[in-house]
Amino acid sequence: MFRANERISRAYPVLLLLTGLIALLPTNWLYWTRDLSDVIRLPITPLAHAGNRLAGMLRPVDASDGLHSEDLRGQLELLESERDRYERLYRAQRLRAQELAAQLRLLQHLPETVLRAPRPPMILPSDVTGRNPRDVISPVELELEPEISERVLEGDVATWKHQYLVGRVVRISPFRVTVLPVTHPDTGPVQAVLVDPGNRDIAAPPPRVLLKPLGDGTFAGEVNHRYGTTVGDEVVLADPAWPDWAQALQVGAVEEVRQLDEAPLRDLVIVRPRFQLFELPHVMLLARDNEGLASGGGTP
Amino acid sequence: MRWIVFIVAACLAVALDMGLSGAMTLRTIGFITPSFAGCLVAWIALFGRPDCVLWGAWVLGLLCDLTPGSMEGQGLVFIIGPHALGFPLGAWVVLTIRPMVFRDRILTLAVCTMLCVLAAGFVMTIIGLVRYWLPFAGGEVVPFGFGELLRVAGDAVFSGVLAIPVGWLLFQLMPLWRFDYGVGRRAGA
Repeated sequence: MFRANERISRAYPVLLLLTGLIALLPTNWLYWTRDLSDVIRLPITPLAHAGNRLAGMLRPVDASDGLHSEDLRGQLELLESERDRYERLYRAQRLRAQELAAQLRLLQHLPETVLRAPRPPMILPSDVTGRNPRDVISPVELELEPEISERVLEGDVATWKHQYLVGRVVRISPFRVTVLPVTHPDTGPVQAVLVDPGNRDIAAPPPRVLLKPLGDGTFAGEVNHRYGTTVGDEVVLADPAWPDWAQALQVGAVEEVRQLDEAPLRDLVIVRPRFQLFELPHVMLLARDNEGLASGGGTP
Repeated sequence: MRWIVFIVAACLAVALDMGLSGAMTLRTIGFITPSFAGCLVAWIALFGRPDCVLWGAWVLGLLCDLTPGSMEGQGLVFIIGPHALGFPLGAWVVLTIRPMVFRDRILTLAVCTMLCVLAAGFVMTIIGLVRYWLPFAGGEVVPFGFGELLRVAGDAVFSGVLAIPVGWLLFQLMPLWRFDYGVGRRAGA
């Protein structure tokens, strides 16, 4: 039978003891582990990248939920007509916004550059190279391409299919980009608005809600009970702390509504993102277009 | 044991845990995910020399601890220890029982994989709890409860199931490893 002291180097127990001590070190003393991880995982990252691609093919995120091809075709046509309608509405609203901005500039004697619409962001697709499938709120690592390393900054936004907000860039090293999911407690509370899918009253301003990440991949927030929040209502970002182009990206949908006993006029809503960052094979990074700003060529 | 083969296999196992294992996650049952690294620890623990096994388990554990999402605290630092201590514990358990088992059976590898993943999960839970309660450690890890232990057990069982096809592949590649077989029991011997 194997004995603990059999043919084992004397250095081994010391190594285990040191490992145990390192495991209990304060977080502030462990920043060197990031660099160690970057260097040690250099040969692993390409393999993990290929594995993530394969996983994305084997288990697609946006599976068709059992719809047949005919149903899908019908759904596609419907979506295309809706897209065209929203595009027309968007153009009309943009013209109206430009007209109002021009009037405001005139009334307030503001210079030409003020109240200019924000430049659209640069869209940089990037594959996921590392993730922890056991943890809903674990950060993921993205492939670092030259364009991304030049343009992406900490705080830039990661989206899925230009519609869903999934995370925010928290670290860019010479080897990889780390994105923290929007549901991670370290991301902090997020301001959002509830969007009524039935368009009950367009004139009424949508209720704002401060969403706090619960740490299990969901958010919790409080909404006025009179609004009549229902399960399935969409929640979109409306937070000035986030970049302009991230506003109105979908944060999630209401999963549960509970009336608070201690505040009967308020409802507690639980919001769950439709797509979690850790399950995605690739994301779209939205980065500030610095070239446009430098040349001053931003036309509204 | 050939170290170069082990290093290549370790990189591959960790890469699969970071990527492909996501396709196998049981998302409706507590995100139970199998571990390729656990299979590899059990494999070397069944056939390798004790000193090589323990060093190999530590190296593999260190690699696992440095993967994204592995017990990261505030500031996205990596906590070294959960796997770097858990895998040697699992390897030690397998080394202790291996003279009593039929090593050439895939089922043996599956059971040993469960033991290794259980040991790693157990150590991870202990470190998580200690870090939570220690005032200076940061306390960033949420306290583990019964649900976490159940998930660890689920991971262990799923890894055992994964060890059946992985084990078959490893047995086909057995000559590459050049194990020093020792005196343990082997089926048909």
